[in-house]
Amino acid sequence: MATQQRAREAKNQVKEFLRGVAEVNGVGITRVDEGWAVRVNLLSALPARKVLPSAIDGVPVEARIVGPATAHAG
Amino acid sequence: MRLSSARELKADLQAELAAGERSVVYDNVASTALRVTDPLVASLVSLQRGLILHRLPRLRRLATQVPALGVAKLASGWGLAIRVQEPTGSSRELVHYLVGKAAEEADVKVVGPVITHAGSPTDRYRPLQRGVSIGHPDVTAGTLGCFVQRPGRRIEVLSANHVLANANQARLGDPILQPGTNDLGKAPDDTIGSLTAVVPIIPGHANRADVALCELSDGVECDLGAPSILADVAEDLTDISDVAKLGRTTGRTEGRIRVLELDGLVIDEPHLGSIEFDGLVEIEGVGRPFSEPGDSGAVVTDRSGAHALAIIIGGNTDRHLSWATPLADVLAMLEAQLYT
Repeated sequence: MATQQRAREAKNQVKEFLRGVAEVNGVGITRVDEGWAVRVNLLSALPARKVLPSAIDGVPVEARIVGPATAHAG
Repeated sequence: MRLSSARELKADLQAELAAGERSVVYDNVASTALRVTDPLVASLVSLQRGLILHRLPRLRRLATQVPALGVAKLASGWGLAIRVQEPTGSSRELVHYLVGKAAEEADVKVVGPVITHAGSPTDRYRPLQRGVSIGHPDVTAGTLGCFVQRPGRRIEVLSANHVLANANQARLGDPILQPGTNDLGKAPDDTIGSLTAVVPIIPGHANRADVALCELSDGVECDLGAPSILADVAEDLTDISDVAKLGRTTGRTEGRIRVLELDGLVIDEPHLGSIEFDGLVEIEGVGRPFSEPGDSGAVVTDRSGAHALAIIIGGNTDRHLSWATPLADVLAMLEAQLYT
């Protein structure tokens, strides 16, 4: 079970791993059933050459397509 | 009891409640020692003393903690209906008293925060309240987030930079309208104050906030108790999941925090293009979008509505996702405090 602090450390590694990848739209931490995980937000699926590890140092890494974000003025 | 008896009891207790409130108000305004002999008044005084008292508008808070009374159809006949918004210790004391007066023939329910359905958030509100339409004259409309205070200044309204400052395009001193222009707000009739602070949004950098302040003009009042009371700002969101917000477009919605400390989220802003943000909170709406265009600036709270957590800055409506900046970070940047 990963603690929040370990998830933060893993998040920084994931950010570095994905630096400059156009499909990525944010990296954060999220609660999972047992502890914490790294969450990767994507605009679309990652290119085949960029394989995201399922865990880093025991911290699960999960990805989700969230699409683009827009400012919410009316 | 009979229906007529239930009605009489309700009327008597309402009169007692009203008298109790007057006593409490007198006690606070005149700062005199109140001789508390009536248990009802004692409960009200206890409620009121549990709150911060040095500003008169705060007296409105009492109204959310005093039970509403009606008549209820019970299995055995008629009784007293008691509706409580928050099950606090003091309101429990008051409910026990009321149930005793009804000789246990009562129907008690905790109903949670009640929001008026009389008006739309796009209407003109005086006094001002959270969750309603607001904006710079060159902006369509956003949401009035909350009221804050900085040392030596009047009360200020907090909302998003792209709502109050047109995404860096506005100048300090520009008028701010309530409602916003999309909701037919016009200067000078609907001007509530002027732009007084902006945290700039910087393209090409990792921004940590999209926020600005508007100082209220003389004579523009705010209702701190409407539509619910914000008691404080949560410093740590780690253990909070279920949240809600009040916004100009979607009103009150509920959601769940899905991601914390989200870095590198890019938000498309019409004037500035793609802007990167760090340190965000991601919220997923329950059954519908948590926010939509027009809701920027809205304060995210816990489900009780009492604890302020973050400010909405953007979202993806199709996926029911919203992104917000933690309010504690924003207030620290502005050296401001929540005005409660």
